[in-house]
Amino acid sequence: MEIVFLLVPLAALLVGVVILALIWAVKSGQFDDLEGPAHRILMDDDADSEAARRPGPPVT
Amino acid sequence: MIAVGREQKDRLLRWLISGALGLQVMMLSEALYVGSFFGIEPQFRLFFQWASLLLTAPVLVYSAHPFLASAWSDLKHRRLGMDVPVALGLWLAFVGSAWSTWTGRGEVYFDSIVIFVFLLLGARLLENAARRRALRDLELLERAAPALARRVRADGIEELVPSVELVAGDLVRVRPGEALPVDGLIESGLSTFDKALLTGDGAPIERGVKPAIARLADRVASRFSAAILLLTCVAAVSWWYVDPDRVLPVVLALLVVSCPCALALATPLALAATSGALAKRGLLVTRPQALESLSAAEIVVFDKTGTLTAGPPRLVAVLPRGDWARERVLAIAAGLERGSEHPLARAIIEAAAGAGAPATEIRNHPGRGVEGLIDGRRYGLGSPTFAFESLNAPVSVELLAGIPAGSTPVVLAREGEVVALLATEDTLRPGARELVASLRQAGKSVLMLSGDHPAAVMRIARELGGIDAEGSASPERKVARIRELAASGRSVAMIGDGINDAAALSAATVSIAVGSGACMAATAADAVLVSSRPQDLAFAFERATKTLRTIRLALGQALLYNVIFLPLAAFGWMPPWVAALGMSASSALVVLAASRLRIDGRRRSEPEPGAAIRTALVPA
Repeated sequence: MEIVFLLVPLAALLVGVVILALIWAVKSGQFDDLEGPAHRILMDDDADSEAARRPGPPVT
Repeated sequence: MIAVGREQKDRLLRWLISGALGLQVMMLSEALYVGSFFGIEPQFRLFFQWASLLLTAPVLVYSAHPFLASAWSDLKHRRLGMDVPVALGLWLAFVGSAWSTWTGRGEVYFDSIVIFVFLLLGARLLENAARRRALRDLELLERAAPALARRVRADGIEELVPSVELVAGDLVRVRPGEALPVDGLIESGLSTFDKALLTGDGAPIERGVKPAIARLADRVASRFSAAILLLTCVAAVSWWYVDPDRVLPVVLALLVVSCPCALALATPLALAATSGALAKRGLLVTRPQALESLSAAEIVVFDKTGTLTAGPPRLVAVLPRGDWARERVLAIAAGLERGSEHPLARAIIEAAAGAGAPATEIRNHPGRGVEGLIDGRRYGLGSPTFAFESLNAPVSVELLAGIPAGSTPVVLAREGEVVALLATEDTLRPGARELVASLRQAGKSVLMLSGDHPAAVMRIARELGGIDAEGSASPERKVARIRELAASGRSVAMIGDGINDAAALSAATVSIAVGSGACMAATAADAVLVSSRPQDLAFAFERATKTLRTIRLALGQALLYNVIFLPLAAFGWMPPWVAALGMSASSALVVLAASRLRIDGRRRSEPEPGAAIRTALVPA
């Protein structure tokens, strides 16, 4: 059972990593908009469609 | 939770971290619980306790900081907020558990600390999110109002253009109540401007800082905290004599179970949720406390035009006097009314089927009439009283008897001479009768005050199911009548046009401005109804009552919960973790009850509020 002396600190270390990830997620704006991205697939990406409509280089 | 601000991000992080660490502490305390049943080697027990202590410390120091800080500021100001027992409980639990860990005897409550912090932060996050969502709804509706300007083209015809498209030299017409689209010089016209936005003078006066029920909740929470602290002291001393080992768990359970969050959450949450639901139906509540007054209103006063009747009214007859031609009369009337926002103006302009005679020096007399200069002669158009008093036109009872029965006469006069009589008729808005019926059913009396001809007003009143009504009421008369009603100690709700009835709206206990684009700027009212559908008004009254009932229910439920659970905790029949669960369950119930108020009761087939606003803003 002495293994818990290793496992608990290991788990704590893992939590440390999780917390760092959470800090990053909050700071980088992952939680800023929880509804918008779901609708993004429905939006026309104007810049891209514009590029598609423009005549490309002649196909040789 | 959308568009998270800095403060909200901060809160979110505190909550997430308390959750991540909480999971660890829970895992360790699970081992301790099982260990205390089946036996555990002392070295493991000690190790688990120390690990829990180290994992709990960041939760207490970082995640719980908002509670500790607010409790500290409460104490500094010699107040007892609801965070005081919370902070006290958290620190007692931590210090007591740390002491047990250090001495190696007694129980530890690290798990209770982390659950408590995690759930409490979660509840506040939810509350905040609900409040933000309501604010966002309001903002969306406000933004949906495009900044438009009426540009007058060289040929005298008006066109509606976005303000950004105006260039220097353009002529712009600004009707009464509208916001100025750009800076400019006044070409013609006379009016007053509300410069409050520029100077900061006359900023909207808050009528009562907080709703009475919110103040009540605050007061109760403060006394409640004091009572809890007292009870805790008594329990602690009593248990000291009975069983010193149990003092800490009992004190903790008491402090945790009594956390009056439900009390404090109920009111703001319910008000925010209802404001959001009403905004979806096109009713913008500018002061949340209006909901409380709306539900408590005993008399509902309506202005007839545009609220109960469908605007614009129909023009049923044009009766020219002498050898005046019908077309000429209409052209002059249309020219005068072009600058007016009154619903009648639209009917006249439509009937004239043209731009109307070019009028200058147009002066608007809200609720009475307009006058202006056409071809060098001064014309006036308005109610018979206005024509008689202000234009010196010989308007007699015999003259007015000539119009169709029940219609409203409008007099066109030129320099002391009656040119023509115009007869208009209102039709009831669909749903107006149901609105009146539902208000009466809710025990409110309904009164109609209108500037229109008494015969016309009585006809509408009969059609509405025989309500009290008063015709020929000038704006001043409306204000006086509302003051009179209010002086008798009853609360009065006034629903009317934001421009002509501005004074009457602010005289009432609570007011709703109904109407078109110009009203968006109306700040005299506590709420603005953009959709101008009677159904939405009925919904607002019904929902306001429901909100109040929900709040009272939540307060009662929180009280009941405490009455049941406090003795259990004081007698030591409740471990701290059960207390933490009970406290959160009570808060969650309150949050759920409030969330139900967000449902706006709109069927899917009904138009979106955005559509209602667009139609309200852009006249057909």
